[in-house]
Amino acid sequence: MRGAWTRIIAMALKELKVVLLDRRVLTTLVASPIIQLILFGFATTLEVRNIDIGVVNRDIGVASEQFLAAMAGNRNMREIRFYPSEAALRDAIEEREVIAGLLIPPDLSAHYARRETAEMGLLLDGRRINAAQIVAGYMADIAHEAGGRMRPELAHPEPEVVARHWYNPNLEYRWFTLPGMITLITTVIVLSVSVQAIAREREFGTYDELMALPMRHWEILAGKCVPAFCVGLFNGMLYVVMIPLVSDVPFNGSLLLMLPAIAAFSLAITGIGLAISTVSQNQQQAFLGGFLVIVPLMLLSGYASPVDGMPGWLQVVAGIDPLSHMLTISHALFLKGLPASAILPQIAPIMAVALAALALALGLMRLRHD
Amino acid sequence: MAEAPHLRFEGVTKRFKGPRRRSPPVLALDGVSFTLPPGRTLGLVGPDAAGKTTLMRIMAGLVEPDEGTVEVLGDPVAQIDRSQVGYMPQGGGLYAELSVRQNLELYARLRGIEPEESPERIAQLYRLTGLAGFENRPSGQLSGGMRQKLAMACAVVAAPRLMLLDEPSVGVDPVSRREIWQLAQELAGAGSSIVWTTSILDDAERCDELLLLHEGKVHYAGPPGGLAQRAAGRTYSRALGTARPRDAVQALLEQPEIVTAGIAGDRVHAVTRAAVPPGPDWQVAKPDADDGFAVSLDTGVVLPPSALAAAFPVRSADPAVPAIAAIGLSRRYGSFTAVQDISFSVSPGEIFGLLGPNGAGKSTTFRMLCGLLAPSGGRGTVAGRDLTVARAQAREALGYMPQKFSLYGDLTVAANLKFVAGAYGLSGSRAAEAIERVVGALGLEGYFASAAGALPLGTRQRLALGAAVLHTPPVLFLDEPTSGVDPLIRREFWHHINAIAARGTAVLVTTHFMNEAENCDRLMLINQSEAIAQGTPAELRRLARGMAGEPTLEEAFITLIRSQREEAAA
Repeated sequence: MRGAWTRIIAMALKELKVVLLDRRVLTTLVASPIIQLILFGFATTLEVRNIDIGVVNRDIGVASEQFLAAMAGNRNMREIRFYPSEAALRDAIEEREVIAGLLIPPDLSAHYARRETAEMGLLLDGRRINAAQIVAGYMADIAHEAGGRMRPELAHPEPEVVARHWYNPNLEYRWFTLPGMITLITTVIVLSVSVQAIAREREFGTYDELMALPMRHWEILAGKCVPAFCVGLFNGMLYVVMIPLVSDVPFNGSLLLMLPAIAAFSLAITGIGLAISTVSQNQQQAFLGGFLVIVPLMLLSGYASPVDGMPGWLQVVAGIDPLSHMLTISHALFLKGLPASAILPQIAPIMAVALAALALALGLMRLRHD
Repeated sequence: MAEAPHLRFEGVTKRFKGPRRRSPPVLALDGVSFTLPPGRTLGLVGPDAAGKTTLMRIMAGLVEPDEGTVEVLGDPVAQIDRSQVGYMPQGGGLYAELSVRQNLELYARLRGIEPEESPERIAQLYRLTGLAGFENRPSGQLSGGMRQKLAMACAVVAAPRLMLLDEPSVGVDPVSRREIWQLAQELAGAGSSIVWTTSILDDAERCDELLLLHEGKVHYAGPPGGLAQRAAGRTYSRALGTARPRDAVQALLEQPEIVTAGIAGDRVHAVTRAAVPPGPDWQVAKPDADDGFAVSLDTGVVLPPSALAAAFPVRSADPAVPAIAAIGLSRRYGSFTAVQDISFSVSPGEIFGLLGPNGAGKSTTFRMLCGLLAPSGGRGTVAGRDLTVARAQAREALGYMPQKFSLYGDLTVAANLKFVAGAYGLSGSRAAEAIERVVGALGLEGYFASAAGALPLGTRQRLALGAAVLHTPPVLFLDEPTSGVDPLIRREFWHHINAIAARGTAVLVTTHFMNEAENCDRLMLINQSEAIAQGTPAELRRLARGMAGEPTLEEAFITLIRSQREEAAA
């Protein structure tokens, strides 16, 4: 057993040197995650700001005036542009000058005056479906608000729902994205290091020499895990420490829980990367293989679209995705500060993926040898 | 008016930046002057890092000299007409994934020839290189000899007046080497001249002129005979008698009055430092270019007893129990048989050589015995361990030096050795001792912190040998250990190999050098995936004797291979 340790340590040290000696790799590993954290953290938000909206106003009464004033006062609105006709408005949407168009009919004020329900038309750019839906929501709010102000006696005829957003009281989007970024960026970095591990040896022709050494396949694999695993652990923990420092997102959980979670997660992604690496002939193939898995991993994680909205069978697949569990852990520890009893059940499936992926890599390595 | 010389160098000097910041610049060429008249063949020889490749690159207009005048085909090199100069870089510069045809047509177009417009030239190239029938094979899957021929064809597709060939015969068997030489002569039109760099002095002796470079300076310029004459009066030989060839050589190499020694047929051959025979029964012999080379570059340093071997425990295993055994080894790839039913055994302390043309199946046999490749039939044992059931244990018992440098080019010499030591289970002080010993014995101290990939070829080979013997294995596998290195380093290598074998380690070696094969105890000749002869060098020579007088081993090699080819064709 001592021999095995010596061999694994030799392999691990060699792999670390290969990764750390390459200055470009090192820059990619340390500088780029920080830049990514800052860029993505602020760029990926589902809040729609700076809305430009087009209006065709055929009403000359007080109702439209009131409504447009309320709209102009909304903080997400940037510019209201007026168009003479529906055709002009259609062109503006077509040209992406505005994301939505509001058609105010000539009898709006008349309806208002007669105390009848008044209607307006809203045209939305379906090509930008997410943003458009959110804009529609804003417009409904504005209409509700303006209507209430104009006819206080009709406001809140029924009990109002007063929403309080737990864990993120001001519904700050950053509070969702930044802890999520830990998962995404760690995945990208760990995968890009681990897919190279064996493919590089094949490409440079050093794999033969390696196979002639008295190393067992599992020892080679164990040694090759080390750099990617360390990079993942380092980067992951760096984010956990950095996020509360550079933003207003709090870290409410325990670092002692975050550490094993990130470790298990890094190991799982390393295993996936190594499995890809064993079947790649060169580094180019390895990178392409990495891209092939990274997109589904991210889509199924629930970061971009909620898992609850997926069909049942896909939810099962998403349940295997280590990213979905890591995302849950990350949000739970940052925002809720959940205890170990809630976190460990999420770590377990990640560990299961790690072991399965490493076993697969080992099996593929043996298979390729003969 | 007489044609201007094809090459004229005068006082050419080139410096390169030092390997590290603030280290002094490296003087690659130091005042090199020579002239090459039209229609001549110039052999460029010299040890590793002598400046041969730099000189070639200056001729090709790829590198500018710092000082001096360079004229190519009568014009300053700056105005070089590239269609008149064909340059074949070391390694050939072929695209491994492209087919033979795609490579050839690509290079033709790059040199301004549309293959469709000159079908005769293309057909001629296929015919001369013997590549007709292989047009669609990716060049990476050609044998070494064929690859070199293709690379040469690509370089000279435009029928240039000056052909610059950098190491065209490295790693190529004697039969292909003769063919490549022939090919160069045929491809060069009348009045064309050839520059040919090589570390094989056999090749050099075929040239019209020789230029011996060492540390950037010209040490000899003139006809090959003149270089051999340097060793005149200092070259002796005597009958081998009953002594084992390699023992006789080994004893001589460590004597202070001997420059170099070797076996030629049934005689021992030695070059001395003074014009005094090494003993009473020695006769004056005719020197060859190898001898002249050794004399010209002799530093007067006496080879010390191999410190590399001294660390090997003396193994007195039962010689009847083979250290390496191949029992009916076969390997098939689909319908193609790479190795067919090969059997041999190597005793402890024996040096066994595998010879054969490129692509004959030597490397495949080798790889099966190292456990790198599973045999399709038969089995192999190493140090008594069966490769099919105890692969890892078998590997612990062997040291392997692959044909291609397979250590990590980005890592330092130190990091490479530490890794290999650890891989063999050496840790802490045992690893440190082993590394220190190997570094000291192979003169790698100065390179300890250099990246392995940046080392000169000979030094890199030394490092690879060092890595293979760190754990003092009972079995050593060396796949073309001296490919591309100069005669002095080859002498040093064999000095170590002999000493290691003398301590009871079994050595399996492949080589394309017949004077190295003479140093083996027994040989196996493999051709077209089958063993065609097995025995001591003397026995192999005897096999071929029926055909022509007193053959050298190289002649025997060529005769035996040709006769098998004729049988196969019949």
